[in-house]
Amino acid sequence: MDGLEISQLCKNFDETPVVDRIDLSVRSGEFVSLLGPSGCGKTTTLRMIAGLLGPSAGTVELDGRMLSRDGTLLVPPERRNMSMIFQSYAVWPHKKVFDNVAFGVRLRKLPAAETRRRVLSALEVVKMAHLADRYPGQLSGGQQQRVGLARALAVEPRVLLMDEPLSNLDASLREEMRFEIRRIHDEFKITTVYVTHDISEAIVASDRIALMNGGRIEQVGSPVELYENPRTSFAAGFIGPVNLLPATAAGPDVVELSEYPGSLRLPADAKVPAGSKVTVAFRPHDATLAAAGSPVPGDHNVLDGTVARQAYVGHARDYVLRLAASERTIRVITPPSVDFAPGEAVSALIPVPRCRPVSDDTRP
Amino acid sequence: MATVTAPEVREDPASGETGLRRRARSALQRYPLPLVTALVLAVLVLPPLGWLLVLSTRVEGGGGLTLANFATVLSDERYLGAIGRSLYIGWFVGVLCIVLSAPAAWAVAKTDMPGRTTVRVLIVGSFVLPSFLGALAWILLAGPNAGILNRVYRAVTGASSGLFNIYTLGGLIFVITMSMYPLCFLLLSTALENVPADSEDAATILGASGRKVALSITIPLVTTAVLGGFILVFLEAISVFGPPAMLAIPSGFHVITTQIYALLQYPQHLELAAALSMPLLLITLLLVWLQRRFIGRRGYVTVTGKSGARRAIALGKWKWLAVGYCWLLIVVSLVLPVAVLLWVALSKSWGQGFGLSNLTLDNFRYVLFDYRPARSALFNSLTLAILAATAASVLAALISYVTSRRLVRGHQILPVLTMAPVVLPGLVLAVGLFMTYARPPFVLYGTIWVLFIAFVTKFLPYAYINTSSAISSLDTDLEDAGRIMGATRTRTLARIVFPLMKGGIMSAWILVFMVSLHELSASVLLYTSKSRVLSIVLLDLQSDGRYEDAAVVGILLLAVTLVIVGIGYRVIGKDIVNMRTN
Repeated sequence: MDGLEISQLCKNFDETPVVDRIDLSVRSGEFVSLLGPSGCGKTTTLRMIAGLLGPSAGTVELDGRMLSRDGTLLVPPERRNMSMIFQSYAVWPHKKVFDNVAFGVRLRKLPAAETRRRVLSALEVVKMAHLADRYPGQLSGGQQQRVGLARALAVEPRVLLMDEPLSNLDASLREEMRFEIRRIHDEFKITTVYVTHDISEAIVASDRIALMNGGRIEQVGSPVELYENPRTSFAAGFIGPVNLLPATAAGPDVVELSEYPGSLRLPADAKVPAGSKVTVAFRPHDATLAAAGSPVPGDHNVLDGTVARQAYVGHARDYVLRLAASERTIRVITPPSVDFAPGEAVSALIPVPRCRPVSDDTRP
Repeated sequence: MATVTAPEVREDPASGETGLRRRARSALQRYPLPLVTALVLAVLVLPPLGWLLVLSTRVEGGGGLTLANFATVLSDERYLGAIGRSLYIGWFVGVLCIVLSAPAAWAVAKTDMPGRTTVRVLIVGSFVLPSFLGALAWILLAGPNAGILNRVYRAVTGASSGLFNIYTLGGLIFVITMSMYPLCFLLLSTALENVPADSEDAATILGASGRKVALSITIPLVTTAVLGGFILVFLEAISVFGPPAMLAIPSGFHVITTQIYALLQYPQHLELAAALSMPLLLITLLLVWLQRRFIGRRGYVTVTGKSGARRAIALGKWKWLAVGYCWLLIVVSLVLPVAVLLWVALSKSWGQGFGLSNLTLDNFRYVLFDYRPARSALFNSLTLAILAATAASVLAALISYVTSRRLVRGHQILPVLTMAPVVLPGLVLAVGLFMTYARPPFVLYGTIWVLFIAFVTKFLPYAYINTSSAISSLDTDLEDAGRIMGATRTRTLARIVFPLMKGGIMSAWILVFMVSLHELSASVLLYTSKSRVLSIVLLDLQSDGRYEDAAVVGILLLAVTLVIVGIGYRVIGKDIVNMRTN
């Protein structure tokens, strides 16, 4: 079995479960992000993959070889042939840039010329070769993180681990480095596990995203899958703005809304069991607004209400609608040309394929 | 891409050993460094303490349990008197140190007094003068007849008798105060500097007067430092040996430490000495506990990074009073003693006049080249100081590492063991060590190794304070980066952790080197003719009345100390006079 295989991985700190029965496979050459809010256990998971932490239970396997099993580190971190990039950079301040990058390569006892070649080419990749003789204290944060990246690449690791590598950088640099990290991955195809709480980082860089919450993985999928087909209300809300409406299924593809006198149609593949409680999710910019009483195009759901608030944000208008005969509000984002004043009666039109049933249960 | 394959490490379940032995062995294989460290520590600290307990409750000569030793200590006039005098001295030294250092600390920390930095460096730096050297200097300055101050006084006034007599309880208190007040000064001035200007401003903006701010904000904030300083100085004063040995014994009275010493001279009363050590130990335990309980860590000064803008109080016309006071303190505690030691070391006979004709280098030649005990003592002292400093700082660094990274179960016990010698006055520790190493299995008494063990044990806490603060400021990511890049824990320690905590380790080394060189109270019980050290030679020469030679030894001690501290100052490049923070 090629790749990284995590199964039923758990970590408790003082009896409190921080990571709770996680399963995840990362194929060889794949870039997978662990995405989630702070405290969701993503960094703990990463450190267990690295072997810097022992799991309380569960296993970590790489290419069919058992690395950790049920509380025992079978292979210590230094023998896992992984490398890691840290949020704090962790560039050693007492070593020059060259020696920082050379540290891991030298441990692999290669000929001196080969060591030098590898170090310089790694520095070349991150565009830092000209600063090889500097001490880290003389570099900016972005440059230090490039050194961290070069240091991790130079050992040609089987698995590359990144722990919020961009969190300490300023916004513009962060955006640049996102694409840089993806470019390097496309070039070398190193199996990568990337921890972040930043959705756009995860979306830009990843092949697949594992969304974590409360020590569990909520959903694993490509960025598109996660955005278009969130499985839970948490997943729907974490990936982007969303409207969530509680409802009861009346048929396989029809639901009665709980807080609004009306029903919504769902896509045919929804197949919700009749009588069950579901939550319907749709994104604010999938809906449009029309004057109340306008004809409803086919294959659209309609929700009537009044404009409670409207904000012009340049490339769009951001509306809050109060639904008719209800305390419930929804958010709708329209092109700037769609202009209704607060208090006007309007209809929100939502394409049926954009209405997804999601589960409130966070258990997989 | 080329991958480097690594062999797996697995536990070996197939060996036929019993569970416990196998567990111990596998633990030792997995954590050799932490476990060996813990073992060394236990061997150092526990036996002396155990022996002290055993001895103090043993019938004299060794037969059965008894409390009679304690009864003797608490009923005999002699011992009660010694205990009472020690407490009296401790109390007065504590109060005097606070009273004397408070104005100077305030002037340095809070005002615009000219030459603040110099005053600070000189007062804090006067700890290069060990207390027994201060006592020697003050015998030369204020001995009842020949004391230089008395001679000057007689010459000036024509009086027939001198003004000062250092051989009194008061004189003893004065000498101890002069050597300990820098500690209070350090604590107080640092605390005052650390009072955030913001919190004083907050009170001012709410309408408080300057006096009100001082009373309600500044003083409460430094109370912990005042109490901490008092306790520290009190403890040092009751456990000090040099000054009472030089001043109290000749004038016919004892304090606890000199009384314990006397009980261990021929004919020995080991059990009584151990029993008399207990009050010292208990008082120390009690005060250390009180300090931890009520003052907590705030009483301790750590190396400060002065933060925020410092707003100096303008002294105006009072500033010369402040300058005068500070320099008076420096002259009396540092300049005068060092000057008199230098002069006596360079004079043919210190009882003669102050003329140039009385000057000579013969004393130096004699002590350095002809006087065999001094030569071997110089060698012993330097060897011991270097070895003890190296052992203590390496051990302290390992302990800090194991503790801060929680490497083994039960690591919490390590700092407790490490810091335990803090409650052991040097003489009490020496009593325990004497009992431990004068008999099998470790017969070390009579060699310098028993001194080595004493110094390492006694000064390990000093080293630990430095190394643990160095490692706690070290991000664990730096180390994890080393591991994940392929370095073992040992290699990571050697290549990344230790190089990065070099400053803390070097501070520890220099500090332990210096206090080892100055150690007297444990040495005096543990030395033999084959293992004399400089402080012992100085004490011997002084009690033989050979003051010129004693002064030479003192100057040598001072010179070595200054050279090492000076080098350290250069290398570390930070305020190492702030290191003494126990």
